[in-house]
Amino acid sequence: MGFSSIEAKELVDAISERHLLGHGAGRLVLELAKSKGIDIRAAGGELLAGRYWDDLPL
Amino acid sequence: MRLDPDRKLDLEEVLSDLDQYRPKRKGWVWRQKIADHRIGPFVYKDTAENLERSVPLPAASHFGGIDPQADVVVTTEIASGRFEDDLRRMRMAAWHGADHIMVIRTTGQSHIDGLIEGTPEGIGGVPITRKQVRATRKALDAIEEEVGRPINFHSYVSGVAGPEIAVLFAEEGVNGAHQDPQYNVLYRDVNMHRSFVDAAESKKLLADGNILQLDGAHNANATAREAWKVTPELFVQHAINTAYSRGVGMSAEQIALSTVPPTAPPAPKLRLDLPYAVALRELFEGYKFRAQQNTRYMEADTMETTVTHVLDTLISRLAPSDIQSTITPDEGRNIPWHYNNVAGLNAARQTLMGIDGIDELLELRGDGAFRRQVRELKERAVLFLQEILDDGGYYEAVGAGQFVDSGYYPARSADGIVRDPAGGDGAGTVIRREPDYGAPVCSHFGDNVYAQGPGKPCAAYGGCTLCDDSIIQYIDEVDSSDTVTERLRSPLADRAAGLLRPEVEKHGDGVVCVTLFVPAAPDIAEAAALEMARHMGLAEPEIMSRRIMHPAEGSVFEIKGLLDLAIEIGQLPMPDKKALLPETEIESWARPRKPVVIAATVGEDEHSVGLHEILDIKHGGIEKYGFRCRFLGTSVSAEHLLDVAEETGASAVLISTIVTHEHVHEQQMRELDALARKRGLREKLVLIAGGAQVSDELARASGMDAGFGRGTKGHDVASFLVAAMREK
Repeated sequence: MGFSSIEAKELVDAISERHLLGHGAGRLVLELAKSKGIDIRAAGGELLAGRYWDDLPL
Repeated sequence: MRLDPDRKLDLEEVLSDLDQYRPKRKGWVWRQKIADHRIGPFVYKDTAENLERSVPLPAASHFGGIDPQADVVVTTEIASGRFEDDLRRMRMAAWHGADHIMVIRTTGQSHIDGLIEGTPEGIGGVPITRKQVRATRKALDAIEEEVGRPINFHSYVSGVAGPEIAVLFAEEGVNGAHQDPQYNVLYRDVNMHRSFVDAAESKKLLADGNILQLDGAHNANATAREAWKVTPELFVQHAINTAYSRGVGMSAEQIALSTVPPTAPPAPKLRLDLPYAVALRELFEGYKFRAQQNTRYMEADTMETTVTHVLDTLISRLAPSDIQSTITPDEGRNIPWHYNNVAGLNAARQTLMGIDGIDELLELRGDGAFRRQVRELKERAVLFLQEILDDGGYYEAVGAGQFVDSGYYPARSADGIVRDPAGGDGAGTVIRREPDYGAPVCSHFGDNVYAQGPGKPCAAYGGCTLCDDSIIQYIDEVDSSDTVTERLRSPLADRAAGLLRPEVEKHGDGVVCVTLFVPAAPDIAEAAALEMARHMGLAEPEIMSRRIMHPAEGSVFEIKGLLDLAIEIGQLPMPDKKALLPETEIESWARPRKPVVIAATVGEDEHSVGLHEILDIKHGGIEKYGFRCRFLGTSVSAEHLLDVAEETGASAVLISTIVTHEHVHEQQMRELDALARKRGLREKLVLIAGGAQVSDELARASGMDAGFGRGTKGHDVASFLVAAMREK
C-alpha cells in the first residue's frame, strides 16, 4: 500500500495491540483515509501519532 | 548500466541511484532447446542457445573454442556474507554457464518477524533486504546483457517474515524462490499453523509474480544420518507442498521439486539413487524437477566431491531434470570460495556436454530389480502418507517425530525431528479474519472484502506496490556502522591505488591455498607441512584437506593461509605479449607454399628435446601447419646449417641452444647471423633461436629475427614465421 516495512510493522503492532487485526490493517487504514478525505500514508501517520483510533470504521 | 568485458564491475555505479532502479524484467525464464544444434565440428542433441560471451571449458581450445550450453537451467549458490563481493562472483559464474543464481540467506533471518532494511553483513549467507535485492538485480540485469542470456535470481521465502519477503521479491524482480512451510517447521522451528497460513499468502504472491517455486524436501536427506533411508518421506514432503501450492492456485509448471541423489561412493550410488529419482519423476509427472547435488557425504577432498557430483549430474540426465544445481566442491570444508563456484559449474557443464544425446544410447530397464525398487519406493511413500492421515494429520505426525527419522519406512529409528504444534516461533500469532476483513492489495490469499467485485482490490487508492511501483518506499541503510559503503571503503581505496591482493571469498581477503606433499608418516608430515607454510610467509596456516598416500611414505595436504601482501599493478614487469595469428590463418598461408625450415641444435650441445617439441606434428609443432621441417641433428655447425638451407631453398633456420656457460649461446647466434650475411643469405632467411635461457630481446641483440624461451609452443613460432615470411 506504499508504507515502508518499518511503518507497516509499527501500524500492524498498534492495530494488533487493540485487537483489531481481524478486520485487516489495510482495510482500517484505507477506510480511515476515505472517511477523513486524506491519503493513505497520511491516515497511517495519524494512527501512528495516536489519533483517529475512535473513528475507525468497524 | 552496461558492462565492458575488459573492465571490472563498477560497484559504485551499481550502488548509485538505487532508489530509482527498477528491474528490467520479471518472472522465471527457461532455456530453449535447439534440436540437432550444430556447434563447431559437432551436432548436439540436448543444447540451448549459445552465449554471446563466456569462458569455454579448457579442452574447447581443440574444437574451435566452442561453448555449448545444455538445455537445462544451471544453478550456482552464492553467499559470502557480503553481497557486494558476491556480485563479482555472479559475473564470473555467468561467464561459466550459470543462469540461476541462488543467494543463500544469512542463518538468523528466519526468526526475524519483518523485513530487514539496509545492507548488514551476514553470517553463513547474506541478509536479504530491499537494497541488497535491488543492487543484485541491477548487477544481474547488466551481467545478463553481457553474456547474452537471462539470469534467474533466486532466494528464500521462509521464516516468520515469509509473506513480506514474497512481496519484496515480486516487487523487485526476483525470479525464483524456495517456499515450503515444512522447512520452517522442521528446520527453523517456526510454529506450524503460522507457517502454513503464511505459506498460502506467499505462494499466492509467487504464483501471480511468475516466480518459480522450489520446495524444501531435499533438506531431509542433507540432515538424516542415513540419507538413502528417508526417501519414502521425501515423496510425502513433496506431495504436501505440491498439493498445498496447487490449492493456493499455483500452476504445475511453476512448481519445481527439489531433489538430491541421496548417496555418494563408495555407496553403490546409481543402484540406490536412480530408482528413487525415477520413482519421483513418475509420481509427480507434469511438475518441474530441480536436481541438486549431494552435500550429505562431502568430505574435504574436492576431487572426491567432484566425482560424486558428476554421477549426480548423470542421474539428472537419466531421470531427467529441468534445473541442474551445482554445489561447490569445497563446501565440505569451508564457506565456498568464488573460484569453486566456477569449478562446480564446470564439472556440471563438462558432464552435461559429455553425455549429450544419452537418450539415443541408453534406455532404463522396464523390468527386473530396478522396476521393483521403483515400485517399492512408491508403495512405502503411499503407506507413509496413509499413516499420517490415519493418525490425525500433519501436525500430529510432526509432533510424534515421524519426519526425518532415519528408519527406512515403515521401520522407525525414533530419531526424527519433533515439533510441538502449539510451540515454535510465532506461536499464537494467527488471527481469525472477521467477516468484514479486508486487504486492499493484489495477490492476497483468501477472504477479502475488496476482492469480491470486479476490478483490482487496490483500485480504491490508485494501486498497490505490485501495480504501481512508484509508491514503493525505499530505505537505504538502517545501521550506519554496517553499510556496504563502509565495507567497500578499503577495497575501493585499494582499487583506486592500483593494489592487488589475493582472495578467495571477500575482496582482498589475502587467503591463499598451497598444496604440499610431505614424505613422512601422517602426524609428522602434517606438522612439517604447517611449518613449511609458515616459512612461505603464510599467517594462520590451517590444514583444509589431508590425504594419506601411504602410512609411511607420505601425505598430501592442502593448506590455507593469509598472505598479507599488496602488489602494485604499476610496478609489475609486463612482458610485451604479441597477439598470435589464428591457427587457420597460419595453415592457409603455409600449406600451399610448403616453406622449408632447417633446424638443429648448435655447438657442442646434445639437447634436442625442446626443438622437437617445436617441430614435430605429434607435439603440436609447426609441421602441422604445412611447414617442411628438416632436423639436422645435434652439435651442428652454422656452416652446415647454411649449406643445407642454400641447397633446399629454405625460408628459415631454427637453432636450439641450451648450453649457456661463458655466453656461448650468444656467440652461436652472432656466428650464424654473421655467416649468413657473408654468404648473402641473410635477406632470404628468417633466423630464429630458442632455448631455456634465450629471450626475444637477447636473440634480437645477437642478430636473430626472434628468440623463444621456456614454455614456447609450435603456435608461437609458426605465427612469427608466417608474419616474417610475409614481409620478406
